Amino acid sequence: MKVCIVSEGSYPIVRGGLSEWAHLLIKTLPDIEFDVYCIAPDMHSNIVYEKLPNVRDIVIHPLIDVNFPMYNKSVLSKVASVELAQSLVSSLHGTPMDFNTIIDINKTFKIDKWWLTNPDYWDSIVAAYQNRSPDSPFAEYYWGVFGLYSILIDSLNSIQTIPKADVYHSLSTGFAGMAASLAKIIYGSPLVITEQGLYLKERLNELSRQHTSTGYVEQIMRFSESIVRTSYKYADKVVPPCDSHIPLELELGVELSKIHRIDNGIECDKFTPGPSKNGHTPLVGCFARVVPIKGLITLIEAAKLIGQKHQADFVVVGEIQDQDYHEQCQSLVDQLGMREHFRFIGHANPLEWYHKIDIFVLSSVSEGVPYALLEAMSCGIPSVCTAVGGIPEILSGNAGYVVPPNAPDRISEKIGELLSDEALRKDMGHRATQVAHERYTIQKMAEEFRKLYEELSNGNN
Amino acid sequence: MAITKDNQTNISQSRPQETDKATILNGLLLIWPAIVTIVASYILLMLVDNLNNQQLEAFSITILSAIVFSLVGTAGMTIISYKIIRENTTSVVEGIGRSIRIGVLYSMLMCLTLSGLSYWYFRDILDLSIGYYLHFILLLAHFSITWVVTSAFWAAGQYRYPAVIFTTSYFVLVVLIYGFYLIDHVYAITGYTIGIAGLCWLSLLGVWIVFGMSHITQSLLDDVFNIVEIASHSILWILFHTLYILAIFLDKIIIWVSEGHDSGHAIVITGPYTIGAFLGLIPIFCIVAIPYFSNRAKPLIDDMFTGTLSDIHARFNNYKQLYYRGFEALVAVHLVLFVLVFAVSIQFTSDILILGVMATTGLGTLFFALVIYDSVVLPSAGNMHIPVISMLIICTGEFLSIPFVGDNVWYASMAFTLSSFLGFVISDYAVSLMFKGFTMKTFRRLTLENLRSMKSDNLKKEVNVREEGLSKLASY
Repeated sequence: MKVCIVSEGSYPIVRGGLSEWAHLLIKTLPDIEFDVYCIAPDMHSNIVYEKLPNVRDIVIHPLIDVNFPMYNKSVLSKVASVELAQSLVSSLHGTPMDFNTIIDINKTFKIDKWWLTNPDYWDSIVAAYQNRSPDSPFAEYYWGVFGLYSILIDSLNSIQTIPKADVYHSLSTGFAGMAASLAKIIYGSPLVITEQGLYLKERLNELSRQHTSTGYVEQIMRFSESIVRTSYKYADKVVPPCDSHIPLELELGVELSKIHRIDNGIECDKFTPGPSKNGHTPLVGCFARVVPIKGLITLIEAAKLIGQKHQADFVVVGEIQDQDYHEQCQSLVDQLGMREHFRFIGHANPLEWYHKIDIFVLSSVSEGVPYALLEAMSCGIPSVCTAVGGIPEILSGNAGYVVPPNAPDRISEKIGELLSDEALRKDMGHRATQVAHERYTIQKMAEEFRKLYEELSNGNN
Repeated sequence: MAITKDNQTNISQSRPQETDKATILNGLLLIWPAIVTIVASYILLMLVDNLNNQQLEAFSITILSAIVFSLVGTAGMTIISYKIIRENTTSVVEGIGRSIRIGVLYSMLMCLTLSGLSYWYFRDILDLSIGYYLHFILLLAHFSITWVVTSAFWAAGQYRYPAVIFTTSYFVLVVLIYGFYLIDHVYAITGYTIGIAGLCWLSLLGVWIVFGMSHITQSLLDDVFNIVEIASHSILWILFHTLYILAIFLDKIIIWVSEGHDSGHAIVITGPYTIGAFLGLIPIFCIVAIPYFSNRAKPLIDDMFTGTLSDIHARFNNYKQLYYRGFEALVAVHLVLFVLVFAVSIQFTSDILILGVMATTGLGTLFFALVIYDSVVLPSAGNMHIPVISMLIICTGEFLSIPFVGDNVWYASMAFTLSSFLGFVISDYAVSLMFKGFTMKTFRRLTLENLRSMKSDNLKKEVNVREEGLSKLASY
């Protein structure tokens, strides 16, 4: 059986929780052959993970194709053009697209970006504009759509490079989900979508940090909603890692029968408690990529509050992926006089640092089921995390503290409690290890995915 | 303020009256140098009535050759000059300095080349003396620099100064010519050459006084490369400008050569056709309506694509109405000028050929002026090639009259009129097509440009594509 992993901007070109998860899954199923299809920002993205023995092909497909033909001589027929316009306009209304029609059109006529100069495209844009945003600036609307449609049409071209497989496993909805959906239609193979983070929530989070108009934000969100709904429409199974994802998935059109819950898993035998730490300044560790979604500003503010009552050092272990954000964080550290007590380590061996820290903290504003938390739990480290994504579910049963996001005072309060009470730390750490070993082992997760792949593949056959 | 159905008719009326007056005045100032040149030429011909035919021919050939060669030769340079000034990133003054520097260099090179190439024609074919040939070179050089400097003033929006400079210079010129003429008839050309040199140097002095000497940060070599790049991007404008000047003179040149050939003098300038044709050209000053239209259309064009789609459509409808009003105004002004010129002409001559050529050419200038009018509108839809084609048709039509002018010189005038009519039909049709689906066609054209530029860039994220599209519309 061959499974094609489809990702967007993550595995195998970017290090992070999702990439680690995918890499571990493939590694733990050595008897299954995998291809990896990654939609990347451009052709020159480097692969940062070792190629595993059971991975046959890694295909990097650029999100934006600049190598489209200079001039498309075989223009679409009027009928095909109108059908294409009708199919694509769903992306402007937040509704699922009809990929079957688009693929049929593409079989006869090569769809490329020159179609964006077609009168039918214009008519459909004007109609959509008048339907949805008649009071917004038209030029802004038009160019926003042009950008989105350019990417959409480029994404449709992924059907030329995506490998044939028995099962397609997309690591998210979005463009990965779209590419996998197209592959499903062409090759008739089943599609599984797993969602560590919720695509729409993450898009909204990104857009809220950009200085852009309300109209454009709405446009992007409707587009994003459309591609998410389209992915769900074609998925055979949607696999959330936690219950908290399910309500939004149902709201976005996933049928209940498609939802198949599988907990994340880690290498518990690798992440074991380290030697006891005595007589040193307590160390609080946050294991996260340095990006805004990880809420590091909140953590820095919490560290300052803690520093007023307790002695403790803080480290952030994770790749610095957003330089501007890193500079912003470092500047705040300096401003608060925390330079001696708050450090950014960058990418490092997490296990080495799990054995150094006394408390694990996550101050994210959005999460799925964070691998770092599971690893820390397996290493017997007590946690203080924000109540986002699957975290409350994981830390239920006193396996750790859960606090509201964007609340540095609450984070500092709970960290303070743990710093003051060593016995509490040990007790919580034990419980965390128990929970991790019972529910979150990689073997358990991999086995469940194997069964799912076999079930889908056999059902298809 | 959103443009609604209620207030859309009031948009063009909302501009203050003073701006309209200033626009009309600027339009008149724009054509004032040409008016002065024609009036001065007429006065000159009246004054120098004791020149014999040969002297008059030599005088006229030297002057008109210099004017025609310099106008046609610098047609492209004036466009480039305009672009350098308007697109200079540091200051308008530096742009003017750069354009004049490169313009003077170009004029010198052009003068050198043309005079070298035309030596055999002047000396062997026309049998003009070396003196007249040298006057031709001096006039060519000074006229060329004058056109470049004048276009610099116009590009900077300064229309008064060229008007004053031309009036002053031609006044002095008339005095000089008459003065030299009284000394000896043959020195009339000397007076003219000194007068035109004065015009040239006064223009340069005027630029220095008005704009000051600016430190030019860009080297001359960079400017040379720059004009090659500007020329490549403005090739249609350059062609149009060159052809339109050529079209004005081509029928006359054909008759001069034809009559010269018939009379055995190689070229004969003075004659009823020349008088009739230049009189017939006077109504072309109806193009004073064009700056008026451009000025009133500018705020509509600048904001054409801002706001909602309804706003865009309303603004475009206003633009269309303005175009048709400008069209009517141009025709009305032309009619008035035509009637005036005809009425005055019949007071002074009863020569049927002169009056016939004047009437025919006068009609032709209406269509010619309308082609120029459409050339202001068509580029807004990326249709600059249509005005070029129209001008090419006009020049071709005139050229095709060559086999027939031997029988009757009036055919040259007819050819000008008919080909101008054809050119007008084509450009007017193009305008009506342009107006249909204008918004869609504009966005389509910009989308094409965006796609082509995408291919030459490495990567564009969706936000950059959107931003680039918006900025293209803004600069459009």
